[in-house]
Amino acid sequence: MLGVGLLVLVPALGLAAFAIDPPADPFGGPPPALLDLLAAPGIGGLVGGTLALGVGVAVGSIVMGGLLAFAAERLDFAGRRWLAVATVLPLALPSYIIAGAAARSLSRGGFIGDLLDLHRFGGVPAAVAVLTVATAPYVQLVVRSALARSGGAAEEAARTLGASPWRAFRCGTLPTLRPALAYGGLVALLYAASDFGAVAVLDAPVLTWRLFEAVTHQDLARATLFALLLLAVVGPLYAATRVLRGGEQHRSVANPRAASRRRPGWLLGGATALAAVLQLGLGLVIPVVAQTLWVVEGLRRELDFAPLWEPVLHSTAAAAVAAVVTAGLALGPAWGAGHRRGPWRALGEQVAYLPSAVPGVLVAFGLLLSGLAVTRGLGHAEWYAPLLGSGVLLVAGWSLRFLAEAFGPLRASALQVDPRLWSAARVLGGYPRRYLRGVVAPALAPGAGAAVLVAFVAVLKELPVTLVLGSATGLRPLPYRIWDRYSEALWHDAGLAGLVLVAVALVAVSLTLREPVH
Amino acid sequence: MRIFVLPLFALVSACDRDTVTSEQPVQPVAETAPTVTIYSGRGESLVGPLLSKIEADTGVKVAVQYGGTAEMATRLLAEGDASPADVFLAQDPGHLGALAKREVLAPLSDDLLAQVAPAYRDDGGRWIGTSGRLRVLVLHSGRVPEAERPTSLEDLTDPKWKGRLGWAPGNGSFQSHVSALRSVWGEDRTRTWLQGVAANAPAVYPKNSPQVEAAGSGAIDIGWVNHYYLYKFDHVALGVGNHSFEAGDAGNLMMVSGAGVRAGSPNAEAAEKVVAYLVSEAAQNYFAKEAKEYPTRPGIPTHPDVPPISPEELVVVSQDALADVAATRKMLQELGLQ
Repeated sequence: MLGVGLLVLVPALGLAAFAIDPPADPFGGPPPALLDLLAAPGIGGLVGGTLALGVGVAVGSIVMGGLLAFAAERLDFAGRRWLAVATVLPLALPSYIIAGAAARSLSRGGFIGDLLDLHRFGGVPAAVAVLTVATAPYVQLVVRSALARSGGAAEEAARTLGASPWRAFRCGTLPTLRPALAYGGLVALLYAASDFGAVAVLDAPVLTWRLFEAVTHQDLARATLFALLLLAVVGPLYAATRVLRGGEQHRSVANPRAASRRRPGWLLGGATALAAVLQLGLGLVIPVVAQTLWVVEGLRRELDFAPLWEPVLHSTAAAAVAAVVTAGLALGPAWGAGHRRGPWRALGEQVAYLPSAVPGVLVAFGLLLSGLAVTRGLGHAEWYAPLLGSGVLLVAGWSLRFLAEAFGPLRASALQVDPRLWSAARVLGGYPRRYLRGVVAPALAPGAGAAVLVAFVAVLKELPVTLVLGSATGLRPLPYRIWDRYSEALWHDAGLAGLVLVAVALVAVSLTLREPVH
Repeated sequence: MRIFVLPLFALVSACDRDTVTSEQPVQPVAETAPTVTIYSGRGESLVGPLLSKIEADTGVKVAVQYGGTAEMATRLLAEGDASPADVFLAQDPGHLGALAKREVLAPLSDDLLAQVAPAYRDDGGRWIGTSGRLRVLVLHSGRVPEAERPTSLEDLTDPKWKGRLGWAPGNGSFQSHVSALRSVWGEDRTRTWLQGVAANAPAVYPKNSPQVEAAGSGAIDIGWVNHYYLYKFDHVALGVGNHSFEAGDAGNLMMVSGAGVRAGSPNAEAAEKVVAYLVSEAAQNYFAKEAKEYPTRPGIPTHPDVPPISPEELVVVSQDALADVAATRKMLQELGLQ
């Protein structure tokens, strides 16, 4: 576990090394002071853009997700079960695919843009819309489970005392939902401030996107500044989510009686319908229809399609390796969190959750800097390129990002192993190896399988780490192909690769949605 | 080609290597022949087919590593004497110039330099232009009628273009052109012009190609690009075309891609052979025919789709001016464009 903990620190140390000793811009003269860079015009705007994006998405997803969760739990209408599942599906789609499809379809020349005479879908407002749709499912899931737990007793009591339905909900149920809404909103805020894909495709002037641009221009000093600012924005947000999460757990009621459902009035019905149309339209219909149209257009105009087997093969091989490594790394913290007490348990959780909460582009950049710092420190700057090309940093980046995904199922399995079994085995003269093989391994196997699968799908869709740390390896996986084709306006090719990715993602998420909502 | 691939990805790289070798002609080579390592800032899809012919045509074995021009230039600088690179092939003159100034590139022989026009090589003789890319406007012929078309780059600040323009401030070609403007117009005029165009709220694109496509689809009327992106699309069907300004305008910039030999390369002789190959008739015909770029060697015709342009029509800029990328980027950052 300590080893994994140290690995988590690597990107942070790389960043710290460069913050203390800023690198010279190789083509720009002496090393610039971070404070001078900070004072440059435009920096405040980037921080403001990031915060505006985050707050906009948080508010949007609380409204959308809250409304849809309420509809799924408390309203009675035809197709509500179906709607509850379908509106969560955008969760599976990478934000760059939703953004790319929306940017093309909702601008002039796109199938909806021409219909409604829209001009251009881009910038921060567009990113708010796309990321709201991408994060509303989180809020929806969290609020739904809170609604299910809170039950209908307080509300019914209020109704018997003569309160209107709205007043009964406001006084009886809403207070119990507040922690869930706040937690969901914060997660959405953190997600939006960390997002890379949507803001890159929509060219929103925010920190993550400018950080990536600075890295591609090899302007490492400026990139370091953006990374520190980004850390200053997401750090407190992350801390807040941890605090709120702790508070939320104590509010559950054992075996609450389910609240009765009612037919929605026109106002509530209309608002729910609007939220559902937005959520499904932008999050699911537009991506699938737009990409299909691109492919059809490519076929109709007899354009060349680059062979798809190469990115599929690269993606599958790389994601398989990274998924196994990720699950292996998550095992220690998961065991610690499941079996140790006190600080070890807390450490296990922190080790798993922290790197997954940090923006991917920041993790990638931190690893890049550590690679540079270490090779330079050893006096062999020429080792840096082979290190980057070897893919070690790439796999480390993916694993750090998705440690939390693999951690969840592994911890659940680790809890299955009763520590008293080991005492019993020892009393009976069992060998540790036999105990591991006969008791621990079978108990962990299902969790490990789930962890590998979840990490596999996550790596398959990952963009920023893939771009920053992957390009030197020669790997050209699906997200890389889609990104490359977007930037070259070869929509038909991007559409084909995108449809493959969307299909895999939807199958994977529908497997996990079969589990009951926690 | 992919030397540094992790064994874990052996499956993937094995497949790649198969495809690459099957494309290369089998050619007996003397065993003592050194392998020349090329750092290419130009894309594999563009120069790959040409570089794979070097061994057959010159007998010099090459290994190529691809990356962005900025990335490869920084790597060369960081690696210093320990760099495995022998030849640097760059997309834009900016980074070539910056490396030449720091003497990371070695002087090329006069015989080699003489093969291209003086405008297409480093003033100090440390790099040579391999092909030219003309900066143009791409516009929709229907929505921008003949009479309305700008005669100078400065016309783009006219408010009538509000909401109709596209550009790509993050792109290397864009930044090289702004470097040229700073040299021709001076700092203040360039800054005012950038602010004027920005006031027309141009759509921002990551690269050149999407602007061509956007002009075709109607998202914009005019984009600011390199000439050859037009030919990647069915431009006649899209109704888009390239547009140059009146003779001598600062908009008519020819940007060269070029190559140089790393100073201290143990394979300097073979490396210069590789660079010489890139300006040979065969390679120049490849750049003209396949890439639809402007050949730098005199006497090579352009592709029939590409209108020839005479030197008198181009703006005169020293190659050194184009190398000042850092100051250009600073200006763009100060204006909030990057």
